Amino acid sequence: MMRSRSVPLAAWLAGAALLATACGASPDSTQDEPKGEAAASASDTDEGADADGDDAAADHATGEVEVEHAMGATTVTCTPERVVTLGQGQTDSTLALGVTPVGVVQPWTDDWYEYLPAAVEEPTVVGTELEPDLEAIAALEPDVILGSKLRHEAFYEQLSQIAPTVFSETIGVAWKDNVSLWAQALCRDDEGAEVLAAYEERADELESALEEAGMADTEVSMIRFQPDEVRIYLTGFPGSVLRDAGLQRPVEQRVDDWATSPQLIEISEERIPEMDGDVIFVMVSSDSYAQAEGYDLDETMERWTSTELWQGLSAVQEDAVHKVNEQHWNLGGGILAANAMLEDLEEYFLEEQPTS
Amino acid sequence: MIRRVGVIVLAAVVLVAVSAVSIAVGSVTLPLGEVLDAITGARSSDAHLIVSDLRVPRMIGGLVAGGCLGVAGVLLQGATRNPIASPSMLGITAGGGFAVAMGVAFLGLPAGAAVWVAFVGGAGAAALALALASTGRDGLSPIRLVLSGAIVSSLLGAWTAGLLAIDQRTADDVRHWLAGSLAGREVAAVGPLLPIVAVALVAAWVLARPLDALALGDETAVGLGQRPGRIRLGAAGLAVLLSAVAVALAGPIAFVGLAVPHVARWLVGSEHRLVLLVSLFLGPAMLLGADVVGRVVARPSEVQAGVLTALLGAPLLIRLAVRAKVAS
Amino acid sequence: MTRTHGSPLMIRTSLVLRRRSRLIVAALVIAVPLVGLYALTLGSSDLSLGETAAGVLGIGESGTTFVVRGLRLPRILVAIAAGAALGASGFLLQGLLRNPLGSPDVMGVTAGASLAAVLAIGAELAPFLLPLAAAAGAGIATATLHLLTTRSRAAGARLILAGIGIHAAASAATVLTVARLPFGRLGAAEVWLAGSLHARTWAHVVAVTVAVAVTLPVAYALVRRLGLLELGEDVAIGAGVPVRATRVELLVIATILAGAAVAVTGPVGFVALGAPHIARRIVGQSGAATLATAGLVGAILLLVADVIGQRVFHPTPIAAGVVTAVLGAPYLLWLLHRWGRR
Repeated sequence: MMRSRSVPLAAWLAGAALLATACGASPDSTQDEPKGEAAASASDTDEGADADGDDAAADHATGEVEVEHAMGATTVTCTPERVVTLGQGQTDSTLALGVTPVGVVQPWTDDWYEYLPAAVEEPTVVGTELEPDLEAIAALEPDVILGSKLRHEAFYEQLSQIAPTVFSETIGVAWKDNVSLWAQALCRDDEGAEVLAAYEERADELESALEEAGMADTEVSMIRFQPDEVRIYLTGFPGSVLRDAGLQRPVEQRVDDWATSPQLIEISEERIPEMDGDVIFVMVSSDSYAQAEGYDLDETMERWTSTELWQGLSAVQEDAVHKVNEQHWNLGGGILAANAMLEDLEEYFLEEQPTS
Repeated sequence: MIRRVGVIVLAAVVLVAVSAVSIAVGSVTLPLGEVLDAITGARSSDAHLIVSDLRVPRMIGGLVAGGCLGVAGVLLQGATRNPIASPSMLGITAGGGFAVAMGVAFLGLPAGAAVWVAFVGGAGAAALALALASTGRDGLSPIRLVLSGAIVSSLLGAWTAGLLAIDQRTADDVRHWLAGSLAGREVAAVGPLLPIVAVALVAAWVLARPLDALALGDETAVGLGQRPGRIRLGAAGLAVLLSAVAVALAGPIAFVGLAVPHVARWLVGSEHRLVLLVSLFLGPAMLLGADVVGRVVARPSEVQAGVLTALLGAPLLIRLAVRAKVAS
Repeated sequence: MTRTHGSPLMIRTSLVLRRRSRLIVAALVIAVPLVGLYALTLGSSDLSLGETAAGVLGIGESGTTFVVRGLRLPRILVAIAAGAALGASGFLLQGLLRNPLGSPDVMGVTAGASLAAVLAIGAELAPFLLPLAAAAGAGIATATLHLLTTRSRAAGARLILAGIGIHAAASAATVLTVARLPFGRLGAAEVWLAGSLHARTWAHVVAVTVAVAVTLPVAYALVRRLGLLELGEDVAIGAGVPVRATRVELLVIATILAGAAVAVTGPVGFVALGAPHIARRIVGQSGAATLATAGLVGAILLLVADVIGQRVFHPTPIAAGVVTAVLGAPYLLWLLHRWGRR
């Protein structure tokens, strides 16, 4: 053994220190994403999204469709029945297209999102969105796998060996393009166009209703409290739905370039004034959501909302702070979530407050 | 003597300057006029509220936590006659932070109990490090003590990582406590801690002379009528208590307690009373300085002060390791 | 260091030792594939040994063959190669620094690799460039340590402290980098920093195997000079060892080994630190057999950590790096305690 005098054994435990730091410390400080980000990096709408849907017009027909997507072109045999979805948005939109996946990744919360149809309980859970279980996926013998380059680029090769794999460029903000992409990959272009058209129509109706009610200028703020950080949402999935509904954003929450803007910012308490709007939607977990009134849902929220800065926000003074369920506002990121969000908006603007 | 007084005054001036900057600079840029109005008591704009409700309490938290860490470092370095001893190098801040995080996140202890939980955790970690360092064949050596402290820190870090991997929910809570930051702490917590701090500082002042004697060697100290064992125990206990206050206020902040006493000794020599005074001023200066940099370096978000003290302090550790006259 | 020559008793002892170490190495050489085979049977659904073997040979069901060959085998091979690289790297560094703490995870090498990897993730480099960045980071950290310490001629425990300092600085810089990452990249950074063997591919296997295959023979050739260096610089000079060149060579080889391992697994702690200790305990002094044992033990440690990580909260996997950290730290405490008692 090493016995050099200068090297007391005690010392070597210290080695552990390093390793611990290596393994532990740094990740500590990383905040975790599974707080439910429909994250989108700078990349703009995916190229694959508006790719050629024309040659696949066939409705659930047999035959093949070549799907252009973020990783290249992939041939899918129509109509795929065994579908594995590697992200929340993929799961949501696949269900919306009338297909129950055979494999899905875990939701960001303990239980499935309440807004999703009961069928979401049926599929096998194949790991997490960040680390899907490739073996479990292979065991399901899927016909097609839907993921995103943002999350799953490193697994593309292995996934492709399991089944034709289609990736969107990113997730979150590009969700509508992605719905078209998933529809194409599932040989269900028509359904895709239908659900999107229905959504657009509903969003337009809300927009006109808001105009009629004189609320077209309403500036909407979206925030979320978490134990170790607080966020303002700018674009992303929820931002795009607000935009479709014709709602405005407070000056501080407007972005110059929709496609390349960060979709959210983490802020310090000093930036509480930037949270203000005519309405503040606070995304909370479904547990908190169920607890109804009061802001004392968690420590962070309590601390922030007890400041005079918060109390001074015009939305707080007007009693226009409204809690919404993060499951469909933030975690889902598919077309069902978008419709659920519209429902919340309709309810809030058109039913609860007939006058503005 | 005049030079020493000059240095102490200079250290105080530096602290005042850094404190002023910490009020003037933050993640939001405010007009200086508004800042000045706020200091004189105005509360009519967001800027005023930001200054008086956020920046000033944060500065106070930083003053107390930084002062505690600086003094704790002096006490530990004196008690162990080891220039690399400090609350973080001996595992005390890690132990305190770990205990608070676990206590608050898993056991649901009230945040007000944090200081005592941190005291128990810090003392436990220090005792473990000491025990580890003393089990070797050659007895306790300064370097071994520091390496043992590093081991204990790493052990706690590893277990924290393990817990985080298992319980995602609690992880967020724990991260908040382990962040090593002045942001988002209950600054109201400062008040009840002040008596503790005051008593500890007076005790540290009293211990300064005996520590001077100790610096001459145990035998000389005994010859001077001191009892080295008691002095060590007292200084270490005080250091753990002061570190616990810092942990309760700011989480486990590393390297302030290591770096500040060195700068102080470099400025005023080795007499403990002077080193204590200068460290009392420079500790908060370093912590507040790191905090200010952390507020602006990743706008609109913030980086924890502890990260920046580590970036500042680690090079000093490297320098000490390769240069300082530490008996290994 | 029982490298005493002379007395007949000593010579006999060393002969016995040599035979014993050969046996141990042989046993480990057999054990690694056995543990690997066992690990191959485990997964989201377990296979029998027969099915697994058939999968490896490609004579079973096509689905099984894909799972075994396409998914599990690369993972297991990466664990073996990276574990061996870590063990060997730790052995060389501990010998070179003459300090049992001198392992890449203690000395900031791993932290440097992590920093570089996180920077690469932030720069949105393609995943296949990540290992290259990590290896480069490891190299830069080592070079820094080397420059700092050769200039001041620091040695022993001081060098370890300097390494701890580099580690602390690199870790803090990593946190700072992560704080500035664009949002969508956080997940990738977090997964990488946990040190995981999840979804390793044949490309990873090739990368780490090539690095190990190239450097291990060099390491083997350096072992004799390392042994002399461990006896002290004077002894080494007396025996005609070019000390300075040998040190640099050892450092380079140890860094390549550690960098290659970290590159394909992320920062997995403890293996590089613990494997050489275990090797020295069971085989005794420095030598080719100890190097081989350190590598083989490293391979087994990483394999076992991966198995534990997959099983303990089945079906939720825990990263191998977390397992090695959680289990490795108390192991070291225990060892320390034992040594103190002797």
